[in-house]
Amino acid sequence: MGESMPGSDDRSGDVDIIRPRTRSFIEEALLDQERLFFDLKSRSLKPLCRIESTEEAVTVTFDLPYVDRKDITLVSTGDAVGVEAKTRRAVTLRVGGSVQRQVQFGQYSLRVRLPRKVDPEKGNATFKNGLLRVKFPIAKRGGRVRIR
Amino acid sequence: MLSSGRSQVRIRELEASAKLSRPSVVVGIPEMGLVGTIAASYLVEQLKLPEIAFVESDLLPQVVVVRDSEPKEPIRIFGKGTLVVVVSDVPLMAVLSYELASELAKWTKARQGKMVVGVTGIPSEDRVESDGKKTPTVLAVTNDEAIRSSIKAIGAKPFEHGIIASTYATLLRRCANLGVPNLTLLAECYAGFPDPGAAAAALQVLSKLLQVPIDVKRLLDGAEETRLKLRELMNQTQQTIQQEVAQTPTGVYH
Repeated sequence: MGESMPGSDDRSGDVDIIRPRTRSFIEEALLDQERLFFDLKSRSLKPLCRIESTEEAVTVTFDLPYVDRKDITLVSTGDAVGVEAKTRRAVTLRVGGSVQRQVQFGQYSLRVRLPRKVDPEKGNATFKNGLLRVKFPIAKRGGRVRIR
Repeated sequence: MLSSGRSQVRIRELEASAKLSRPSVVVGIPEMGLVGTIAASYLVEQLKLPEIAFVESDLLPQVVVVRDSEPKEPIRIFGKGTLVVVVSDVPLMAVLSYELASELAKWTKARQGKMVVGVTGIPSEDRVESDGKKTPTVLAVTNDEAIRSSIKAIGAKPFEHGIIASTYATLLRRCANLGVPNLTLLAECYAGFPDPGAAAAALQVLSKLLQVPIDVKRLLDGAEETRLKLRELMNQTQQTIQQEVAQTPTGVYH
């Protein structure tokens, strides 16, 4: 990599400095994209997820193709919800940045933060056509104070 | 301004396009539930339509996807005889969306096309609550009186009140301005997730409209695989839709 002196007319030096940085920026963006959908260490898929929030409830929907209801574990701490599920068969998908490769996955795993604190004990979940939908009521903040 | 000056989108025709005859132009762009992209891609594959043109624009992302050692254009046009199918593999930002819709309407008119058919989805709570066995309803809106009278016969329901946004809205408007018949099909779909079932419902309506047999069994059998493979495109599309929605008027006064 060439270095140019400040104020010199040697433009090629600037290009040499910029080029590797640009390359790493693009590669980094592709890797960020990959991290959104895969955890390659645990060979887990991260499912698509949608969060809707109203004054009364937070609803989280996960898209879980290739999953049976009995293989789903759903947990919540009140400020986050996590899903883990085995796929009914191994799934091979292309992953990677500039050069892609085939990787086999056998499960989903994702934990998402919720926009409001919810009551995890009162969560109600359904699983239809591969869509897992869980609705939590918003945790009550404060209440009436009894005066003795 | 968008409406003046030279178009920033060009349709580059390949040799095979010369064999078209008054084609119906089906358009599938990634939007709600990826219904348009899934339906259009399946149609191309099922009818083995050859590539006849592609879209060239500086507004497209500077990325080339390579599949089986072959570089692919992000927006391709396939067709044969009386049918043309436009498929985009990338979500379209506002300016590109406007320019492409305008160019497609002009191209259809120049080619003396019979009509433009936009295929997309409309998010539906019923669809999310269903167990997947019920065929999603397909709504239809058109600028053409003759097509309007056939909406029920082709298995769709008239779209009576609501808002159509982005590419399909411009396509409908530009077609109306140029006197090109347009039918926009909106299949009830999942919000935020790829929905091959909704695409299959739209294809069944298309099959009757175009009088072309389209067997959707393979699409429905492979629905889970399609949902998984399209996660990344769905995510990019959702981000584009959210930017569009922020600019959409919500009040309709008349």
